[in-house]
Amino acid sequence: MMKIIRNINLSGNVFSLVIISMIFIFTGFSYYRFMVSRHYFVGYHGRCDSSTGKCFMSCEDDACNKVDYYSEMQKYEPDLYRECGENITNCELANECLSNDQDCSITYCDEKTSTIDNPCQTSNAGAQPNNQVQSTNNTKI
Amino acid sequence: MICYLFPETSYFFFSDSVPKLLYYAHIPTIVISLLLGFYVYWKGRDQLLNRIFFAILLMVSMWATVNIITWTNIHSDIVLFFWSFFSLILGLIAILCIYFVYVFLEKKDITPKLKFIFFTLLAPVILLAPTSFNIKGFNITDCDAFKFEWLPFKLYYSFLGVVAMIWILILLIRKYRVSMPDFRKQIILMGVGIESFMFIFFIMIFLASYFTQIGVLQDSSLEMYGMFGMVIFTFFMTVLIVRFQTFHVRLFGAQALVIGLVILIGSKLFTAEVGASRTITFVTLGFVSFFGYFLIKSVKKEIETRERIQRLADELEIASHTLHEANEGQKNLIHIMNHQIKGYLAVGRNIFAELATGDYGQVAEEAKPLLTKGFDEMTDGVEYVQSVLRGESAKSGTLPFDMKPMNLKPVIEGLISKQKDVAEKKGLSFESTVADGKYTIIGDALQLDEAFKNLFTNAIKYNTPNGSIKVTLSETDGKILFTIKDTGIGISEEDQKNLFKPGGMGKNSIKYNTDAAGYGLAFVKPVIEAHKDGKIWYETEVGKGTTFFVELPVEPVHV
Repeated sequence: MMKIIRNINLSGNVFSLVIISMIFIFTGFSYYRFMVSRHYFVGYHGRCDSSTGKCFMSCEDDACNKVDYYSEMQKYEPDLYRECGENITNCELANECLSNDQDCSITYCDEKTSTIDNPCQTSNAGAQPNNQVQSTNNTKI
Repeated sequence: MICYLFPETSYFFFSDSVPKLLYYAHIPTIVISLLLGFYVYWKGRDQLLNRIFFAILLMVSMWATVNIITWTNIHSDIVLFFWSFFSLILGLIAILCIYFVYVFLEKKDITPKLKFIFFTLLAPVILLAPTSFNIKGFNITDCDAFKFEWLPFKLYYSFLGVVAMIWILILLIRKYRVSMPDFRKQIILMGVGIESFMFIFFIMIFLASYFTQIGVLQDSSLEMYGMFGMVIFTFFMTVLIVRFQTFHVRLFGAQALVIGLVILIGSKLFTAEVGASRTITFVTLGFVSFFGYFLIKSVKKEIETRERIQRLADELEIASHTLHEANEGQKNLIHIMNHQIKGYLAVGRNIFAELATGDYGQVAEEAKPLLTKGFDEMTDGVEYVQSVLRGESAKSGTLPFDMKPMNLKPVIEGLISKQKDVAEKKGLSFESTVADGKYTIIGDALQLDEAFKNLFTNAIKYNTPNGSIKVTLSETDGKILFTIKDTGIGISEEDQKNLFKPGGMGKNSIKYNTDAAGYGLAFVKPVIEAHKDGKIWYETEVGKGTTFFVELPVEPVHV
């Protein structure tokens, strides 16, 4: 092993060695960020009352017989994990921004936030608060 | 967090919720890339080009592997960890492709300055890839991170691919203009291969990712078509290996074809539905593998036989060349020896001549015949060696000629006068006719005198006792004709084959003249033919005699 290291032409391979070292550092950093500290946001479909008329809408089957009304939730992963564990199914806390959440937002549908893939609901069954995005922002990620 | 709408993967890679095309597009690419990459690397680890090529293929197979993981896995932390590698791998592929083309074209490593430029272009990607500038989060409903990618960063590393394509195109065009035809073909193959790969790979991946991010596409299935760019690249690289032994690797067409077919059919197993279709694919794969193995074996055997024959032919050529050189060396040695011997003989002859004059004291009467005999023998010896040297020089084309206007008539008349006495002393009748005419030619009087003297000498030496010699010289319609006819032994058909070759004395002639060197006529022919339109031929009949004819054209010159 030492013989191999001695035979490496350091001056000729300085850039390769620097890049390889940087890739190793990158891998370590990336592993720490995503796998250990989980320092990222999680986006998902939150609960939305269709009577407000401000929900996003998506079809759950090809014929669009069953429609899903949702808001777009975004939470800091450690908060969500603390509140719901690995799976948010049947986790009521996932649909709310709590006071101790470091960073949380709920986005409702309007002209600005709707896309072809995520259109707003067609029926207008009720009133929606003026602020389409409700959020708590205690920490900048 | 897990993507709650998607099923868990089996064995980390397999999921029923992904398009079948994912496996069909990715797995063959990974297998082909790794097989070709490791093969090329293993065959030429010391070659920089091979190492870079291996690095590119390794990166592409890594990209495909990471892509399968991000498509199939439902754990946000795992997916994001692998997702962060996309930008790094794409940036590395772009830079490695430029590096690869540089080394391919210039056959040497790039300068440190250029390495620094590459490093500068790549550094932002490596530094920012694990940060929020690359990905901020993950959508567990869609199970992807497109909407959390920072667009300027995505544009930057995709832009590296476009820069690489333009850079490579310029390099290839510049080199193509100054290259030899054979290398031009290689440049075209390399150009089409690498540009197609980069265009399909980078463009498809960018478009799929961008349109998914802005919501135009529901998912990024479009990027799977980008993998076909890699198949095109490996195809063109394989053609370069098979035809031009690029990467110093030997691979023949049948091997590449069979391996390619096995991988392609094998990958169909991932798309075929269970049941009959999968069974048919499996059986086809078995057949192709079985017959492919024997095809490769037979083609390999044929190639080895052909190479062995070629090797033998090369060795034979080398041996022939060595032999030729040895022959030439031997000839030179003999030539030098002959010159030396001639010198010794000439000195000996002069000593005999000096002693015979009596200047060094009175020689006893009994000794005088010995001195005369010694002088004659030495003279014959000098002439013998001279004839050999002249014959060899004439044959090899090194005989010097001093061509100038001359009259042939006095040359022939002088020889007639001298040789008549010699012939008559041997008891031969000698008859000569020199007709009036114009006998001016451009020639070398000295060499012609020696050549004609040879014909006279042959007519005398190989004549029968009491035989006759007839010499004529005439000029008709601008052509001089010299003939010399003897009534000698004639020349057999077998002897005629070697008549004008060095050492080509006939079997019968040796009986009449044991001292013959066999270089006389080998000297005469080249001398006559060295003169413009000079010709020599003969008519012979065994036991009756031979006539030699020499024809030379008259030149209207003033002598």
